[in-house]
Amino acid sequence: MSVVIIGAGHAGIAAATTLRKLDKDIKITLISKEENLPYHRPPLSKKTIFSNKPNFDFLLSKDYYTNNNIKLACNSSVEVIDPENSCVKLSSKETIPYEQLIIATGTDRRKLDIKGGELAKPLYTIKDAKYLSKNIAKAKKITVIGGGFIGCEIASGARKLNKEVTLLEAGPSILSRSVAPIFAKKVEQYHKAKGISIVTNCKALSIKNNKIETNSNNFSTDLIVAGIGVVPNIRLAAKANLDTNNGILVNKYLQTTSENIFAIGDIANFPFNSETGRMRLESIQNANDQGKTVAKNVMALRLNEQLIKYSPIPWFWSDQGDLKLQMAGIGNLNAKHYVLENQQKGTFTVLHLINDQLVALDTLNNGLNHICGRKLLASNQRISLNDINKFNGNLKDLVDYLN
Amino acid sequence: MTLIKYILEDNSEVNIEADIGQNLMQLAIDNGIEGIEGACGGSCMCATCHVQIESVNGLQLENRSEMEMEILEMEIDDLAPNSRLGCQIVIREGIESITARIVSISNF
Repeated sequence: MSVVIIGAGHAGIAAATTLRKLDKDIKITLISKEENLPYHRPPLSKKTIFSNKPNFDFLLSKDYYTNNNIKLACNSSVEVIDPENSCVKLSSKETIPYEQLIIATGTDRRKLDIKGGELAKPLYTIKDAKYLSKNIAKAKKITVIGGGFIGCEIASGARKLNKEVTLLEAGPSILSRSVAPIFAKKVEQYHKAKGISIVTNCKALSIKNNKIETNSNNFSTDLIVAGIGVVPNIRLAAKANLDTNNGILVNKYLQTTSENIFAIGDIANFPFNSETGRMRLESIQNANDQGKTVAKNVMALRLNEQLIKYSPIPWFWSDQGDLKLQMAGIGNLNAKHYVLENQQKGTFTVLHLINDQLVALDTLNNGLNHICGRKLLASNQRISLNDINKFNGNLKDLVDYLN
Repeated sequence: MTLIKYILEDNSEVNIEADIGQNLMQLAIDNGIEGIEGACGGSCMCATCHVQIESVNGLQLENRSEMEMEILEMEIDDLAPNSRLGCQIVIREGIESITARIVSISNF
């Protein structure tokens, strides 16, 4: 009886710990490419790289793995998944058999595909974080390529250290993939007021020494950091003939096209709802919740019980300077946006409504609205703009009313 | 050194010495204490590190921040006056000991 988990990020760890809670005896092997103990990734761009003595928060203590009989194989990479023989082969030539396999291999950093692109340093692993921590401390001028969450976190953290910071964004706005345009605008204004130079519609064309040539100006700098996103690493899955398309395709139970192989976390492309269809989520919430769900489904499969559906209320967060951005739900281009603002408190909430139904919220420095939003989205009730207006935009009152 | 006594959900006790700057969530995880998950890594985004502070010797703890209070109010059904998020309790010079009871939320 054995379960093999490839990948020891947040998703793989959630799967392993939940499995162990559900069954004391099941054999669990957790395979990790990295040499260190599994760790929290969000702090890397939020605090770790801005400290000259970076420390890392581990997800579990070293003793946890031995005390709970979870075999953690660090520094190990899987070469082949062999569904026919139900085993995985490591690069060390070791073969590990499985009854159920969970693929939680996450994503790879996207390559900056320009001449000298490798000179823009990525942030993905502990090793990257150590490099950046040392070099951010030394640099006077820092240029960040990419205005997504990670790029904005790095830029604002560096600015807090009084660095001269330039942020280059290829599109017309920062954060365009993740939040409402009006929300992105608000965040952009904040960063500009703090002294970050944000250049939009700016595509890097080449990097030489510390000079970036772009479609507009050229920039010279001391350190270049790339925050240009990640891509799902589907190589193993494709070689094993699992269906892939922007990640590994899974059903609502997180099973791949091979019944005993599941995929979870950043790499899993799952059916979300009829409005959105399939999607992949790169978030802690998704990794944790899919890890827990997959553990229950592995057990259900073994006991011949009904598998449970993964139907999340997605949430995300990003810390940028003194701003805390908290997002719940998934909006889209058809959504209409409404703003709730409290200028005195410096809070700002954008509601996303599709066909007059609340589907998502972006909040700025307003944890209460964020949590209320999560509750409203989870309530299985259709929340309209009228419902929100009835309570003068006070989401807590609306939540209390529905309870 | 600050002495932290965790009272686990089965009422057993674990004593750990903490350094200045450590927080009660990560300290629990580093020492394999059951019942503290810390899903968000200490970002005040979840309540999976909920504890109730039973006593503090020496310098007292700072009050709960608005952000911490909001999460607690929304996520903990039986919120106690001494309910805290472990991640928000950071050991400072002068705190001699803390007794924290683990009351984990069921999100599973």
